[in-house]
Amino acid sequence: MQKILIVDHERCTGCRLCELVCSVKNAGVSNPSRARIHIIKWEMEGFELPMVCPQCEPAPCMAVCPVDALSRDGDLERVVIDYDLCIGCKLCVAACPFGGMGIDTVAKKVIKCELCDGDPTCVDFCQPQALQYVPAGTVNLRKKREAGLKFSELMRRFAGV
Amino acid sequence: MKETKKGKEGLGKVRCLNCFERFEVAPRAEIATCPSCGWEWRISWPNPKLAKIRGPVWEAWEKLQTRGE
Amino acid sequence: MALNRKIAYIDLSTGEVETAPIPVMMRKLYLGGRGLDIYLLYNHLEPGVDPLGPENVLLVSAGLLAGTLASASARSHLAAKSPLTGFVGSTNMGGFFAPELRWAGFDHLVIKGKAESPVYLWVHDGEIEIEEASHLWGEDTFETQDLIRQEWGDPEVKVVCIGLAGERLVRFANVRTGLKNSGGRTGIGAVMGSKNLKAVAVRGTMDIEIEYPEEALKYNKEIIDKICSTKFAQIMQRWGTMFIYGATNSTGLIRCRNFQLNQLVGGNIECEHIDEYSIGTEGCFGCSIHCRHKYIIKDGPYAGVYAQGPEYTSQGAFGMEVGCNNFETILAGNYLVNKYGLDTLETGSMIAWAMELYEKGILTDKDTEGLKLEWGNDEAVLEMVERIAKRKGLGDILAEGPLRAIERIGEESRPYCIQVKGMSNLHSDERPTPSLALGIATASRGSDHLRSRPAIDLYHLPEALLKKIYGYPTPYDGPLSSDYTTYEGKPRQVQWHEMCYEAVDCLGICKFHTIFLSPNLLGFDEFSKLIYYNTGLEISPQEVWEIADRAYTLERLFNIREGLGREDDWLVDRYFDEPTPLGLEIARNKVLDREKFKQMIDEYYALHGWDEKGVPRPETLKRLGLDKEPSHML
Ligand code: SF4
Ligand SMILES: [Zn+2]
Repeated sequence: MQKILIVDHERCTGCRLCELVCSVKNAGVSNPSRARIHIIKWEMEGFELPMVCPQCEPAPCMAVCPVDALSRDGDLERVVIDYDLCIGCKLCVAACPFGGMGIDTVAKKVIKCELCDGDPTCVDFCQPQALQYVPAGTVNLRKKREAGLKFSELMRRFAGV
Repeated sequence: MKETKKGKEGLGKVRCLNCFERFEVAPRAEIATCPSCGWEWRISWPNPKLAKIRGPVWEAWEKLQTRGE
Repeated sequence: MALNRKIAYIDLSTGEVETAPIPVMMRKLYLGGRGLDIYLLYNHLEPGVDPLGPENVLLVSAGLLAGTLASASARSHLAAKSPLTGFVGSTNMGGFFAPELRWAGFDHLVIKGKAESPVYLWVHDGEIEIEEASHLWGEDTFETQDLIRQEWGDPEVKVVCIGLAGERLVRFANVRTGLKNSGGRTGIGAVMGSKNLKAVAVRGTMDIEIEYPEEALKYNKEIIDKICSTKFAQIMQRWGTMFIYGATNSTGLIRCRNFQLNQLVGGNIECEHIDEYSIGTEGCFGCSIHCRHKYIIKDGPYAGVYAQGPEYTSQGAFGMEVGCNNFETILAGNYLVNKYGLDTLETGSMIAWAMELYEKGILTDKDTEGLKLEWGNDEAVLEMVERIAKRKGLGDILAEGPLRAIERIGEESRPYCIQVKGMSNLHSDERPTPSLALGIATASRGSDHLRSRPAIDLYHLPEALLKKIYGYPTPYDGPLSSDYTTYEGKPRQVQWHEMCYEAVDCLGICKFHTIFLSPNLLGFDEFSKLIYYNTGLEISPQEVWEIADRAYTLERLFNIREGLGREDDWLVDRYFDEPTPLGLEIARNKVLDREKFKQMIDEYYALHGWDEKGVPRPETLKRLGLDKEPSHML
């Protein structure tokens, strides 16, 4: 079944290990500015949100690419870049509403999350499981189950059930 | 919820701070008595499978301590 | 490779900035972080200078593995001559500053002189500039960071700064980064204040090359799984260091009412209370333990305040030591010291000491200007924090730290001041635990639990396991005992943890991932592998030990050069004369034995290759290559 990368910001502890492992995996170096995932923080409010390409469908980046360097890889349901075709115009960067399409200033090319070819490294390392890679069809049931657990916890505490 | 099926796995073990014996604590118990020395401990649960000593049961503590004198 | 970070020499008096590479040879001798810092301090500081004068040298650094794939590679280290002790000043903190400093291209900043008016350093992608900071002077440690970020329009800028306490030269002012991280001990914040240096701000986007990326990823994952599978880590993930209080207060191993009691009877300030205030936990860079809580205070004058922490130390400072049995006081105290930039431990200890002096009539209402410094007076405790930070009234005296405050209050106050080398002791009672007592007595930066505390000694570990741990990576076949109340083998344990924590501080990783509170965590083998996969340097576990030994011995040489003697490695009389009144049988009615304690120190010196006065022997210096220090290679 098709899998998707989901983000549960409530679990995120803001450790940025995902940024680190992403840059090591994809660029061979530690440098979050070259990572494809970023933790956006509101430090004074204590809020952190992992941001990564959601592999939109239809994808605005694909729509604006003038040379069709972006395509959908059917197996993994992801958007991939063909660097042989890419002319580096960065229209996709401008079109992306999430900042999911980024610029690697060292390699001088556009970059995006390509789900590590089906085995996302960030998910592997995210200990609090703020990042999960799960079959798309199970997402809603998982969420329902989690909400149910919280609910039963409350029932126990306040209603003594 | 989880422990209904897996029963035993829900049990946590703690090490008595007085006699250093390990003993099992019933799932979600908030108080436990050390079977080897009789001290009463308040228990808390960092996660459903892990028990830890939160502190003494202070009333029992005062009684035991004066007895030991 | 991960090694090509630079060192920068910054003279605030002249505004000159010079940079230089760090030769691999120096890495092999000192790794980085705390190790290279002490080398730089020993070589750049003239002996005998006033710690608050322009001649003091301030080091700001990142550990060798900061920002790399070495679980929680987040630690920065700061050093200078301490205004609190007059010996080595050294402090270590987590957060996100150290990796950012390295992405900006630097590992060590050597800051000299004194700026004419307030400034801050702006370090970014290989450049260092000195910026005007008059508008930041007087701002608290949260605002300062935010204002600097606004100035550069970049929320990713990481800042180390001081608060009011550092500006006012409180001798135990700390340095802070983020909401939670504090370089607390030895008063480095006052050194920054004395240099008119409000902050160091960094932002970097440069690569840190990882020598073997695939292996490093694989190994890091292995280590994280290992760490997270331990019981200790799972408890820390839930409640942070506050969990320690559960066991130590139950047993009678804490200090209460400035060392008069060793248990807070009826104590109701356990870690579990944080659940009522917490909105989640946060981690330092790359850390899977995420030990700090994000909390919002619910009631009282600080209702609505958002802060992070607290740690075990704040439970002591604003809980048992001052006789307060109120979790909200701990949360408020923790917030206040962080805001003003005060060391929580020292602040709590100074207030607790003043409270005992008040109880004994040595301090009166006249000295306190009517403030009732009575045990458990929550409001008075928080008011004293303000007065110390602002140096008002009695606060001005306490702000001078233990030794100078004794001079001003009078000799009769001395016996009640619980300090070593002029630095206050952690809020734990070491009378029942000789190993922990030896650790604080001998620690190079003054009374300290993070230099060498063999905390796992409290676990009654089987002797076979102790032999395995403490017989490696250098051989040891002396005695070892599972009983924490004995004196057997404790010097080796202290020495071993000293070396372990020194290595950890050189590498810039977190002690909580190493054999500190659990025997199943990282040790010398793992350090060696982490260094190899990340930097390519081949340094065996034995060599890691030797580097730690070299750096620690150099700290000793530094202290001796500043006048330290054997008598400074000693505890106050109360440890030997007043038995512990409370707790479980194992901890009750305990004092330390002077004679046995003396023997432990002898043994500890011998293990280090130091003579009976605590001075490293010539052959020891030769073995460690320290016989020509200062060697001025950097
Ligand atoms: S690894 Fe997980 S917890 Fe850490 S920052 Fe990334 S998403 Fe958050
Ligand atoms: Zn028992």
